[in-house]
Amino acid sequence: MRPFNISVALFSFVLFLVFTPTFASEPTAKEILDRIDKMWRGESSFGEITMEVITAHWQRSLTMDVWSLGKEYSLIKITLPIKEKGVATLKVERNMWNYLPKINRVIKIPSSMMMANWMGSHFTNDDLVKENTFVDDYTYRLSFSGLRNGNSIYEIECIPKPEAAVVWGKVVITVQKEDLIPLKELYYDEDGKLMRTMTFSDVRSLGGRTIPSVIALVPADKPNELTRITYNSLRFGVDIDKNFFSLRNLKR
Amino acid sequence: MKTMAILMKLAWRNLWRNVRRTLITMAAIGLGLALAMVSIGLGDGGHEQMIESGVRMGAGHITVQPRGYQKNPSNEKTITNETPVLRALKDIPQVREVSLRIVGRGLISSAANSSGIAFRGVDPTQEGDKSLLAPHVISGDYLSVGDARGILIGEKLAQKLRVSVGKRVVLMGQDASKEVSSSLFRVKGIYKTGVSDLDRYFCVISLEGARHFLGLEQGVTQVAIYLGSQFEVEKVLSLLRSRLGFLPIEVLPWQEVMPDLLRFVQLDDAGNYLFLGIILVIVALGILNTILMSVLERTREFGMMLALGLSPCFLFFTIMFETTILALMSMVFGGGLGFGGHHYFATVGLNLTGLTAERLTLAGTIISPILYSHLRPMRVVGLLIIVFLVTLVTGLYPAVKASRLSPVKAIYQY
Amino acid sequence: MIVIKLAWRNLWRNMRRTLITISAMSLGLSIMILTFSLVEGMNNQMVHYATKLSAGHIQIHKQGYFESKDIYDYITDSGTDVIRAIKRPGLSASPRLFGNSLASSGESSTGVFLWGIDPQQERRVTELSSHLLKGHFLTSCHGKEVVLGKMLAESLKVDIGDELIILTQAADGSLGNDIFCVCGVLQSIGDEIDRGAVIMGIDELRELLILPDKIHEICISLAHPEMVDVVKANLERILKGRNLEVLTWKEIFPQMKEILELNKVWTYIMLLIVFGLASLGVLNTMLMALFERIRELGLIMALGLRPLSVVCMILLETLLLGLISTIFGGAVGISGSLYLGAHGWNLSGISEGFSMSGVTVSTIIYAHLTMEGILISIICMILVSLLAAFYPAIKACRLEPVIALSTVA
Repeated sequence: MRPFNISVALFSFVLFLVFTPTFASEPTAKEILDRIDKMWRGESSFGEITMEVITAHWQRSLTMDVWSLGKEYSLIKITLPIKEKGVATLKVERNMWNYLPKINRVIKIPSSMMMANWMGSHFTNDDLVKENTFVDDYTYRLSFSGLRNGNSIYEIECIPKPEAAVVWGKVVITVQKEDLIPLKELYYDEDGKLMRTMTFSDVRSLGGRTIPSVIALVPADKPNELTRITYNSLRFGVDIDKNFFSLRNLKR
Repeated sequence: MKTMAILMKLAWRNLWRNVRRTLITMAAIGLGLALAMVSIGLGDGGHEQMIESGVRMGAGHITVQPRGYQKNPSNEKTITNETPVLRALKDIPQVREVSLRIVGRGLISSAANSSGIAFRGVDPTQEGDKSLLAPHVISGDYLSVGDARGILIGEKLAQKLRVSVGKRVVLMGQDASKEVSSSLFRVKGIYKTGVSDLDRYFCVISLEGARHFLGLEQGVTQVAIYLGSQFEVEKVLSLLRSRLGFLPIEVLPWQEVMPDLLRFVQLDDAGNYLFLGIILVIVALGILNTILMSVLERTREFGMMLALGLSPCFLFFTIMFETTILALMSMVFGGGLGFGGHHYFATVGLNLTGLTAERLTLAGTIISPILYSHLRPMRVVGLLIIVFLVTLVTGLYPAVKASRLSPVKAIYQY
Repeated sequence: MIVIKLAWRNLWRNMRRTLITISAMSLGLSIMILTFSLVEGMNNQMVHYATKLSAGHIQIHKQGYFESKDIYDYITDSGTDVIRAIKRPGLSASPRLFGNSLASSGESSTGVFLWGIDPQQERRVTELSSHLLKGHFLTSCHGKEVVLGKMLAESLKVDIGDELIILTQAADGSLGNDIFCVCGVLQSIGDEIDRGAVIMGIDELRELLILPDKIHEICISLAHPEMVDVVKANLERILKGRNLEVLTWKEIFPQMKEILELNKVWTYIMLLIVFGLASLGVLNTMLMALFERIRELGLIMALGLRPLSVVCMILLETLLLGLISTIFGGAVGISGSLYLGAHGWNLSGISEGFSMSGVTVSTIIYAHLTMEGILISIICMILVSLLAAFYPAIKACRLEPVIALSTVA
C-alpha cells in the first residue's frame, strides 16, 4: 500500500486551470501554485470518472460519480460494475465513511485503516482525506525551465516543510510552459529514491477548460502495476454546499 | 542451674565423641539450610526483578489514570489536570519518582510502508523513563529536551518502514476529540530489546509531541508512580486513594494494571515453597536417623547414668541440648554458606544467558537472563526458625525414648 | 552368594535405622517422580494449548506463506489432493482459509484476521469448538455466523446475537462486504486470536474473498504428538516437488520450545539437589552401621573374607536399600502421578491463568507419567546412594582385622 495523494492529483488539475498564460515575467514556483490554490478554494465540481487498476493478480475497471467542494468535502459513488453499484465514500474534513449498499450499512473508516487502499487502487484512504497539503506543506523552487524531450517545460521541486505531516522527501512536478498543463509528478523518499510516478495525458476540453483527462499512477517497485483515472466528464460551479456532504446523501 | 551447666557440658562432649557423624550431620543440615537460602534469595530476587522490570515497562508501582481507562483504554481519555495528583504525591516519602505519560495507539507511516503502533509520550529528562530504552538504543540517540518531533522506534519497525535515524515518519490516529489527526515525527533513535512485541509496536515520543498529536493543551493519560520498593505499595496506595478520591480518576496498584505478572509471581512462589518443603523434609529425616542412632548406640551408657541417679528428665534435657547445639552449629555453618552463596549471586548473579536464544516474555515483561539474589531479613529469620524447630522436633523422639529407658535393661543391652 | 545373604541380613538387624533410611530414600524418589510427572504434564499442557487448541501439531502451506501471509499464496483445489496424499491413521487434517479485513459494529471498527474453517473437520483436529466462553460454535461451512476472540468481542462491544460488518478487499480487487451475526465468543487462547480473530465457515469466506476452492493451510493434529518430527519428515518426503512448506509447532512457536527446555533444566537441577541431600543421609547411615559393626567386620575378615567382598557387601546393602526404596518410593510416586494425572492439581486457589509468550497457561495441572521420568529418578537414586556408600565401603575393607576386633563399640 503506497500513499498516493489524490488530492494532489485533483488539485493538480487546477494547476493550469484558470491559468492565463499572461505573466509579465517568469513566474516563481510559489506564484504558480499560489494562484492555483486561490482558485481551488471554494470550488465545487461534479464529474464522472473511470478508474482502471492493474495489479499483479487482477485487473478492474470502476466507473464513479464524484462531487467535491474545495478539498475538504467529497462524495464518490460507484456506478459500475453492477456488483459494486451504489458503494460510496464520503469525506468530510479528515473523516471518512463508506456506504455498502449490499448490506445497507455505513462504516466509519478508523485511522488504523487509513493506509489501506481505497477500492483496491494504489490510492490510500489517507490520500483522499488529506486537505491543504500541497501548498501549506511544501516549499518550492523552480528547478528547471527550458526544453526537454521536445517540450518546453517548467520543473518545480517541492521539499516538504520540516513540520509537515508528509512522508515524502521530495516531489518534482513537471508542467508545460505554454499552458501549464502538468505532465508528470515524481515522488521520492528522503534518500532520493523514486517511490512513485504520476503522469498526466490526453489533454481535452472538460467543463469549459482544457485539462489532461487521464492521470496514471505507477509504483516504482512494481512497474507492472498501475492505477489510471480517466475523467469522462467534469462540471464546475455546481450548486452544492457543505450540507450536501452528509451521511444521508451517502446512502442515497 | 549448675546441673544445667553440667548437662550442657555433657551434651557438648557427647557431640564431639563421634566427630565424623556430627560433622556429616552438620553438613547435611547446613547444606539444606544454605540451599534453602540461595533458593529463596534467587527466587525472590528473580520475582522482584521481574516486577521492577514490569512496572518500569508498564505504568509504575502505582498508576493514576482516568477512571475507566483500565477497562477501556482510548486516546481521548485523559487526566485533564495533573497538578492535584502531583501535589498529593509531594510529601509522601516512599515515592521515589513520578513519571507523566501520554499513551495511545496510532498508525505510523513512512514513504515505504505503514504499521499500527502503541506510543508513549514521556518527559525526555525523566531518568526512570530513560532507563527503560536508552540502554538498548543501537542507532541514533534517546529523546532530547526541546525536540518535540523526535521518536524512538524499535529495530523491527524501522526495518518494516525502511527508515533510519533522521527520516520522516507520520503518526496518524484518533486525537482527543475523536478526529483523525496526523503529525510528523523524525526518527531520533532506533532501539533493540530482542523482544519482538516491543521492537515491532512500541514507540516513545516526548510529552510535547504527544500533546501536539492528540491536540491536547495540557493533561496526561497516566501518572506512573515509582516507589522505593514493591513492599510499600499498599501503604502509599491507601494514602493516595484517600487524598484523590474525589477526582474522576482511578488509582491502581501494579497488581491490577498487570494481573498476568501477578499471577505468574504467585504461581512461581507456590512452586518455591513446595521445593523448600521438600528440602526440609529430607533434611529432617536425615537428622532423625543420625540422632536416633547416636542415642541408641549409647543405650548402655545412658542406662548407667540413669542407674547412677541421673533423673530421666535431665537425660531428656541432655539429649535435647545435644540436638540444640547441633542445630545451632549447623545453622551457623549453613547460614554462613548460605550468605556466601547469596552474596555471590547478589553481586555476580546467576547467568542464564545462552539457555534461550531470544529474550523471553513472560506475562508481558522481559525476563532478564541474569538473576540476582535478594534476601529479605524476614525471610531469612523465618527460615532459620523453621529449620531450628524442625531439628528440635526431630530430636524429641529419641530424647523421649532415651529418658524412658529402664536402667537395668539398658545396661545389659549390647 | 554368601555376601548377598549377609548383606540382606545386615539390613534387618537394625530395623529402625533401615526403615528410616528407606523412608528418606523413598520420599526422595517419589518426590522426584512426581516432579518429573508434573513438569511433563505442564509442558504437555502448554504444547496442547498451543497446538490442539488452535494451531495443530503440523501445518502445511504453500511455500513461503507462513512468512508472507499473502492471500495469493494459496493451495488450489481445496487441498483435497494434498489431504489425500497425506492420509494415514493417527493423523487428522482440516483445511483453512485466511484473510484480513475491517470489522465494524455500531460505533467501533477495527482491523481483524479472518479464519475460514470447516467445523466438522476442524472438530477432529483442534478443540476450538469446545473452547467457548459463551454462545455456540459454527455449525456449517456456510452461513452468516461468526465466532470472535475474547478481547476482540470486548473491544468491539459485541455480544451473542449482535451484528458484525466485515469489509475486505477480495482477491479480484473488488470490495467484499457482508453482515454477520456473532454466535459465539472464545475463551482466552493466545494473544493473537484473542485480539483479532473472526472465525467463519470456509465456504463463506471463499465467497467473501472470491477464492473459490482455495485454502491457505492444512492444519494437522496427531494422535501421537511426540512423533511430530518423524511425521514432518515423512510428509516432506511425500509432498516433495509440490512447492509446499511443512511446519511443526516448534517452528510456529519457537518461544514455546525454549520455555520447555528451560523447564527441563530446572527439573534436573532439582533432581541433583534432592538426591544430593538424600545421599548425605545414606552416607551417614552407612558410616554408623560400619562403626557399629566394626568388631564383626574384623571377625569375618579375620575368618577369611576378602576385602573386595567386604566392599561388595556394603555396596550390596546399599543396593538392596535402594531396591526396596524403589518399590515403595516408586509405588507412591507412580500412584501419585497417576492420581494427579487423572484428577489434576487445581492451582486456581493460588493464581488464575496467565500468558507465557503469548500462550495462555491454565490453572489445573495434570501430571503425566513417563518412563523417562521414572527411570531417571530410580537410576539417579541408586547411583547416588552407591556413591555415598563408597566411602564407608572402602574404609571397611581397609580395616585391620586385629585392630577391628579389639575395638570397643
